[in-house]
Amino acid sequence: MTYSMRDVRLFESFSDLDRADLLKFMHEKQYVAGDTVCSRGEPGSTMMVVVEGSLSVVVPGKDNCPSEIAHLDRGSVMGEMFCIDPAPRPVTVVASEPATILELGRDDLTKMRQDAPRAAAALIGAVFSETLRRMRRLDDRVERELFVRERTGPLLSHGGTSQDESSRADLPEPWKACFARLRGSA
Amino acid sequence: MPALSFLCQEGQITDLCFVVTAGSFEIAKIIDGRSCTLDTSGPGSILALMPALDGAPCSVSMRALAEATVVEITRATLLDLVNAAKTSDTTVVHDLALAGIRRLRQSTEDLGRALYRALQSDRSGHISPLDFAKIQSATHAWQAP
Repeated sequence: MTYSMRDVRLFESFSDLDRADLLKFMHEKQYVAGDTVCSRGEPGSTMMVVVEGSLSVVVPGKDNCPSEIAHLDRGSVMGEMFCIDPAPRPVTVVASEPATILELGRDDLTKMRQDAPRAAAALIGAVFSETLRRMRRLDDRVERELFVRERTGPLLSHGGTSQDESSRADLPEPWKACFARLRGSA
Repeated sequence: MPALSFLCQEGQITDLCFVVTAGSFEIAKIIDGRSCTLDTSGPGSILALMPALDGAPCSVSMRALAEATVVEITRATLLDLVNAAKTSDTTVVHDLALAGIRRLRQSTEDLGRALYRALQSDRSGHISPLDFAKIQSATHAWQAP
């Protein structure tokens, strides 16, 4: 099957030629509903683009039950940083329905830098811009939400956790999920 | 740069970023009316990259602790480097992306740790402004890979 990937935001600045070159280095993978695409903690070195179906991003929630923190539809990109800097996966991703993804690994990117440098440059530039955008979002979040919250009340009043003493025994799980969400955003 | 001179002050808009080649810089922020030192950055650090690229005001101040040397990079040059497709040379943008990814991951971990410390503290749920500011400053001082 052929894909254009014109609807993928990360690749919106790509020329048609860059997109076509990128596709030559990507590998198609198909999943049935319930399949695990990647697991939290396992080494990750690939970027994935959802081209059909959808995926669910989960982290351990209360009593280690999976808690969905994001849903990835067609055109979503996941793990774009991992093909530049491999790291353990911060989240688990499962197929919510039959899904097809295109994957680009670190080795593919290395080969792409040699054989299709224009497309590789476009991709790395796009990942860099996305990293900056997330960094600015983190910076703004610290400035607006958290810094202000320090002056207005406990952080735990945010995110569905009550402030009374009786809820404190339950805090570790929501906080674990909170950390996982933070890591997921990176 | 003479000792105690500022590269960039909190709130200032700059179209320059700086690579530290010698000496070190104090990263500071005004908290509750006082200037608090958050970190120091030495050779290899890339300072004020985000403000230079996106035009937002610098959220921290950067001051030379002693005589120091930096390389200035203008926004126009940065944009040319980032838009590597023009030259098909991916080296610089790859290294910048790598530095940014590591900085983002580290800042996220730091935020997680600050949240956890807040949970453990007597004032459960409160994170100290200094902890917040340290995380924020880290997003402005990248380390070259």
